[in-house]
Amino acid sequence: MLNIIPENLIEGWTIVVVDDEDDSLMVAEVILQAYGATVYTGVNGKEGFEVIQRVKPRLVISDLSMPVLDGWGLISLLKGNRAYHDLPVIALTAHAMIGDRERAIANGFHNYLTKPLTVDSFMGNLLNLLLDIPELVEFLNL
Amino acid sequence: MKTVVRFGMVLAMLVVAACSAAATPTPAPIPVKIQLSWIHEYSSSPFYAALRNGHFAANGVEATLTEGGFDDQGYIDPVAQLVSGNADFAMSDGASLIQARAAGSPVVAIASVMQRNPLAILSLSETGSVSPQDLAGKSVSVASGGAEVMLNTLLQSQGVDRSTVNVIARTNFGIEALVNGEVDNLVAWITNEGVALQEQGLTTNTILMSDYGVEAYDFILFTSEAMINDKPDVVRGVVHALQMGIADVIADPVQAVEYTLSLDPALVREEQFRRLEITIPLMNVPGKTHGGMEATVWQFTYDMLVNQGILTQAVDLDQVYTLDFIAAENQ
Amino acid sequence: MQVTNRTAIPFFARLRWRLTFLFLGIAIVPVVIITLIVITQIGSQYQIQIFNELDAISTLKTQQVEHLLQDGREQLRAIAINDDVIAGVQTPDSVPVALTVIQRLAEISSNVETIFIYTPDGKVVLASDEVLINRVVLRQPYFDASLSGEFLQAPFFDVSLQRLTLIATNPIYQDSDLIAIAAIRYNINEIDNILGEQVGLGESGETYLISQENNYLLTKSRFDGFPQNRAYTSDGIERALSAQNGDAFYPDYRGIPVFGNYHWIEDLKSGLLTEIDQAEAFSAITQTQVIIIVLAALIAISAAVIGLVVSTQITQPISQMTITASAIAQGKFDQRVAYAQADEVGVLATAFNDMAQAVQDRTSQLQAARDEALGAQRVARENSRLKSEFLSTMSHELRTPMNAILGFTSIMQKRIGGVEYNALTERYLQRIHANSERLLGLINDFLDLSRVESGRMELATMPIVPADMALKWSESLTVLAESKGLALIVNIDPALPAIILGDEEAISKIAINLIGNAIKFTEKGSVTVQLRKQEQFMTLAVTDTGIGIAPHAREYIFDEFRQVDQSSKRKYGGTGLGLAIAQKIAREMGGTINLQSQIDVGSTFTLVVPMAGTANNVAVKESLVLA
Repeated sequence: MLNIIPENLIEGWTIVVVDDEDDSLMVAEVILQAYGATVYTGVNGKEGFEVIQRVKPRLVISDLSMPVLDGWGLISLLKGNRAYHDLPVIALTAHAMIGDRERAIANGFHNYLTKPLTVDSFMGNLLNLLLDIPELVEFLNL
Repeated sequence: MKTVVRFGMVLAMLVVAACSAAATPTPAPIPVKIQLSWIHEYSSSPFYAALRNGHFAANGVEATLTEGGFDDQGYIDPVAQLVSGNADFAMSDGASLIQARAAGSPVVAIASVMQRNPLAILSLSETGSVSPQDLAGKSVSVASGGAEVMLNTLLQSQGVDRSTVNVIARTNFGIEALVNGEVDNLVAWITNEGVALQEQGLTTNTILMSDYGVEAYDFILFTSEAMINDKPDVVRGVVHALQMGIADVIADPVQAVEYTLSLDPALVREEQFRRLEITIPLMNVPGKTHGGMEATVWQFTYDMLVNQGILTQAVDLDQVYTLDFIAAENQ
Repeated sequence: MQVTNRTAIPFFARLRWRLTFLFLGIAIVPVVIITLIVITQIGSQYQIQIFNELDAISTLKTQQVEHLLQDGREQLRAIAINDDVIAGVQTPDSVPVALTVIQRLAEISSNVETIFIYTPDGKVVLASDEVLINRVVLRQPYFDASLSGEFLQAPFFDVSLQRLTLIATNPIYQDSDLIAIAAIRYNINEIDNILGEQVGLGESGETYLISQENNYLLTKSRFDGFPQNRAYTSDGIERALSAQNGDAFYPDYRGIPVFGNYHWIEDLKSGLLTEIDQAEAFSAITQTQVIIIVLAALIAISAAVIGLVVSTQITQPISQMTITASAIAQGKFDQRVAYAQADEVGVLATAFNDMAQAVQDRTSQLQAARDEALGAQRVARENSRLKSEFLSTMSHELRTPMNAILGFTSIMQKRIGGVEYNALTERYLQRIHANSERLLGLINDFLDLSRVESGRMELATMPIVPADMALKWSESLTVLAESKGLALIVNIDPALPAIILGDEEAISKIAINLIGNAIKFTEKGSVTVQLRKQEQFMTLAVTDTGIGIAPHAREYIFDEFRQVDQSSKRKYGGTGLGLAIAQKIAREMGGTINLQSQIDVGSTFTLVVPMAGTANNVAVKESLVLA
């Protein structure tokens, strides 16, 4: 994990964050914006999908348990849609059971971050994950 | 293995043959021809029994029985047959043999089948005679020859005047004359005519010659002097076989009749049986050897012939018969 | 051997048949023995009796015949000395008188048929039957013998009479000169009558005379088809004719087996045979024997029936019980055996029924207990599920606000998001953050403990690189150690495989707990972390140079909520959950945590885990400790 993460790490990125908790949304939004990304939000899977369709993000970060349409529903929507099939989606959730990660990955999430997060832990882990995604690595400002 | 077995069999056969050769050599049975005095009937059944029961064979003799009776030349004379050599043995009666001897035929009597004479005077009960004395004033039919001799002897010995008796020559062998009442009395054999009368349901009186001491052997087996001299064993064998045959007939008359029938199936079994039944007591007299002979009888016969003038020249009675071949039996 | 199938019992092993045969044996054997004895006894007695009867008949008839003969002899003797007769023989004039005498004599005696007198040369001179007079008896069988003395001629067939004749003679002397012979012809019908008497001879018995001379029957056979004038033979006949007397079993002249009494009658030179068919003689006794046998058979049958009945009575309830037991075994618990009689079998049946009832009760109890247990299990499972759900929910619910707290505090601490900061804000934020961390730690501990307690800790078996893992630990805790002036040394034994299997998160949690504790409780010196290979285990030894742990404290140090003492709680903080959780997790992995310590020297906590992961569930030896 890098001790210092560049402030413009994700300069110019469009990222959609989907979470039914306002506070969680705000934390994620603030942190990502601080590192240069443009963040759009949705409060559930349905709204999230609409936003994704509107803004065409480079990355999606989504909670799992949400009303109307939860994370699982959203990922299946995205994976079933040829336009968004390859769109990287990272799960961000307070659930912390063994097997959740595997289940998430099996369903199409690229990876899995657990709450609660701090700035450092969030960005650090996120960076590690992004490093694993070839098509995004080129866009990282390291 | 097979060759061993075969070899063994051959060896065994050789051993058996050797053994039987080493044992007393059984000579082939001597063939003899026996001339019977009458046609095949019950009276010759001892011969049939001797033949069928193997007594001839057991005595080393192969017997051929020739029927007697009549041929186209007339009565078959047993003496002539023997003398001519047509027969080795033959059957006849005592009187005939004595006369034959007197005529020079070298015949010898060797056995007698019947011990008592079957001749009798038969008459019907109602009209007949029960004793010789009754004959006076009656008619009697008798055949010429031996029968007549015996009748005359009877009348004489019983003191009946012959002239008071109407003696008629018997011409046929039937009983019709008596049955019809043509004659009062018939001199005949009790074994034959006597039975025939019974068969007709007639009750008869019988004056048996033998009951009045008029005795003669009437069924004698004889042979030639030559045979006796040359083949005494054959003679003995034949006599013994006959004796055994007589014993067989006495023991089993039914079988004897069957043997008789086998020689002439035309015979009637019941008739033969009844006749044989009457014959058996004549053959089987207690105290007398089967087939045996007694000097007294021969003597009487001889005397009878002499007295009646039949025999005109002397004959050595000892030459006429011999008792040498008759086997003793335990009576 | 288990024989649960009744038809699998071999036939003759079956109790029922064994009892029946036993009964039969006990009943039959003596019955058979007695029957045999009785029958043979009766048989032999009867045979003796029959022979005795035949002998009596034979003796009686012989006597009668002898009497008849004797009568004739006496007649003859009388005649032989009768003056009139003598005169009649010698003088023709005396003949009529003599004849009258003889005729009268013949008439008087029923045994005598004819009397006749003949001369020594065989001529009959006097006779009660006229026709005999003048006959010549020279050729008659009796003639020769009659001359010398009293003579009886064995019966013979008279040719002219055409029948059997029995003649006795007696010489007549005058001054010791033989002048004539008197003879009588017996009435042979009398003999026929004597012998023909069938009293005592049943349907098949007969007495007859047989002639030695030619084996002819001198008296008539009782049976058709056996005429007299034929030779007959049998064992009895031959013995009689060879002058033997006695009795025996033999086939008679008809070939039929008879009881036979044979007797030689010298006078008549004949055998007298008294015979009766064995079949007839035996029939009476056979009847008795048959009755005895039938009775014996009835006894046998009765014995068999009784045996069968009794044995059935005994075995039937047993069979019943077998069937019922099978039924019960198959689940029909309400089956019972019905048996009315109050005997041992009845007691057994009652006991059986009691047992069946107990089985039924127990089964229903068990059933109830099982249902209860199932219910409890269901409840437990439900509770467990609820607990799981609760944990999950709690975990989620607790983490969500923590996310906001930590997130915002970290944002503010990072001075991002455009907030105004000053030193106080910094200080207060730091406190909020530190406490949030502490709260988060507590939440995690609590969740871990809950999970471990309820066995919900799912341990992964993934490849671990011990070197990398140890590096992470030192990265996390070096700062803390340096802040206290302690050295943190990490050693990895080269013998330890480069890759092992296990749950990295769980091992790390324990390791961080142990190392953290070591740092916490050490003021000076160092904390050494050593990773080694011990058989199939990896050992992680955390050694400190701290205050050490007193022996009494080592026992309960792993207990939940305990610390060495309450004072250390205040000094060192913590809920005391750490070691308890660590131990539980270690146990869950199939390993353990061991402790060695010396006061004021230091302590070594050693975690022992299997290198092959928890899948193998290998038990750990508690003594596996590295100093």
